[in-house]
Amino acid sequence: MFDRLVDRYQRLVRVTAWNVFRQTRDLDDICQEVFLKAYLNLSSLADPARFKGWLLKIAVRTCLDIKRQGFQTAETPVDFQEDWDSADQKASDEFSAPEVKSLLETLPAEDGLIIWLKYVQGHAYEEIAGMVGASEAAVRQRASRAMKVLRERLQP
Amino acid sequence: MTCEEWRQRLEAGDDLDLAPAEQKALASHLATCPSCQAAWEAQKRAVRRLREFYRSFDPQPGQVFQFTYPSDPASPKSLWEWVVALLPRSSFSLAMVGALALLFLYLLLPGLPRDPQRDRKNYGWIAVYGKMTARHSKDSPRPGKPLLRSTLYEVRTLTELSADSVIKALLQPDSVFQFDTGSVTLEGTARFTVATTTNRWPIEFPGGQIILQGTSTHPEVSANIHISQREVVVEPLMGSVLIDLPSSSLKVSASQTAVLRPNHDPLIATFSPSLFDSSGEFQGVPPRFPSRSSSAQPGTPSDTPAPSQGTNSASPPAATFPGTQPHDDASSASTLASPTTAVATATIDDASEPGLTNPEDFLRQ
Repeated sequence: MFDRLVDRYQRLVRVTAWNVFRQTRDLDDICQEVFLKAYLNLSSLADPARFKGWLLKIAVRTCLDIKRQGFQTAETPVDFQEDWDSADQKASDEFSAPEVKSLLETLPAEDGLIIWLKYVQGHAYEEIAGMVGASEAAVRQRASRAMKVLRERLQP
Repeated sequence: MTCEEWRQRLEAGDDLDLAPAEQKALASHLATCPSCQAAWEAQKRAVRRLREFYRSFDPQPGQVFQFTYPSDPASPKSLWEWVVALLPRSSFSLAMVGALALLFLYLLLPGLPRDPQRDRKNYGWIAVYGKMTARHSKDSPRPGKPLLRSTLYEVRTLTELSADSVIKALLQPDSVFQFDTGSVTLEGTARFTVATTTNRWPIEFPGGQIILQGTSTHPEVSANIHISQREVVVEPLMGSVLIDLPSSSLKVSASQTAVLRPNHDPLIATFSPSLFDSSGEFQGVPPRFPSRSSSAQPGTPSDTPAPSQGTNSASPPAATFPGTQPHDDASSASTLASPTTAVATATIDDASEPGLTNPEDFLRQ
């Protein structure tokens, strides 16, 4: 039963972890940690229909906790200026996935996470604030800052 | 709402959470404000790019994560893990389990101090009792006349019987009925029963024996003995006794045994035999003989009375028959107790029986 949930939502957890760590080396370990917490706390899930949001909340908190505890990532230092230069060269309306990924990787990890939660996952700022452990105003400010960059960089 | 305020809200993504009324206001504003329209279009474009990217984005494409289940505490591997898993978590529950374990050990282990009242309430008594009657046979000079009536019973409390306890109800073995006649034929019945207030212990009732024995000649006694689970019936009981002269006597003995086969090892045994007849009065030996008849046959040696054997002059306290008044506990059953083990009476009811010698007369002489 739980295997089905793992199969269905493991990409969600991986994307969450990527948004926090921006690397793929230890994603399996992070996924294990997230799903283990979910598995051990399944009894606290009152409404099974809300499993996705509940799991996402666990994933965000787990990833942020791991990161705050000094998780050593294999993040490759991004040449900020080079990335922006390469982005500038793209004036077309078509942006490939690697280009968008590179652009997202230029953002601070928490900002990328917040805009993913806000604009892709559709959570309200209040919910996101609860997940990341920050005030709603700070979350809103981070989202605005990140989206300003995206708007500018993703112009056709 | 001013143009700057709308732009801030659009750039913050608040357009996703607008109420219907606000959506209408935004639409009307965008229709009249090209700069806000452009900012909104840029926002929508960026969000669309973002969603398109994440729709197919997988940090590890093609890889399938295999979740490793933790060791389930509900299915521990070893016996010790089972024990640990079953242990209660709170200290109160742990104390309760400990108390229950101690109580279990207390009930299991013999020799520990217990409340005797608890056992008495649960056990009760067991009684083995019987009755034998005999009359003159049909071909005798006084056909159908009662000759003797004997009862026996044994009562014991079940409080502390030991394993394989034997309860033996014995018709007084030395009951001697003396005759000065040559021959007595009799017929009658004997019935022995086990009664108990408990079914806790199965009871074997192997049967009994009836012995009619002349002092100098051997009677021929025939009887059909029927043995059931709780009862032995000897019917008919027939005998013919040739009494020798001058000292003739009829020795009657009967016994019945019930053996307890307890399922477990109980405690120490205590016995409470009684010595009463069916009327509740003690009937010891010498029995109530009739007065000496004037029709006694000649040659009766009146100067050589046979001694009364096996007499029991003790007078135990009166009691009721257990079959008619059941006692539910040992305390009431113990009131029946008598220290003697002889449990039988025998009387000869035929006061006019010719040839009988009254031992009291012998004693006077």
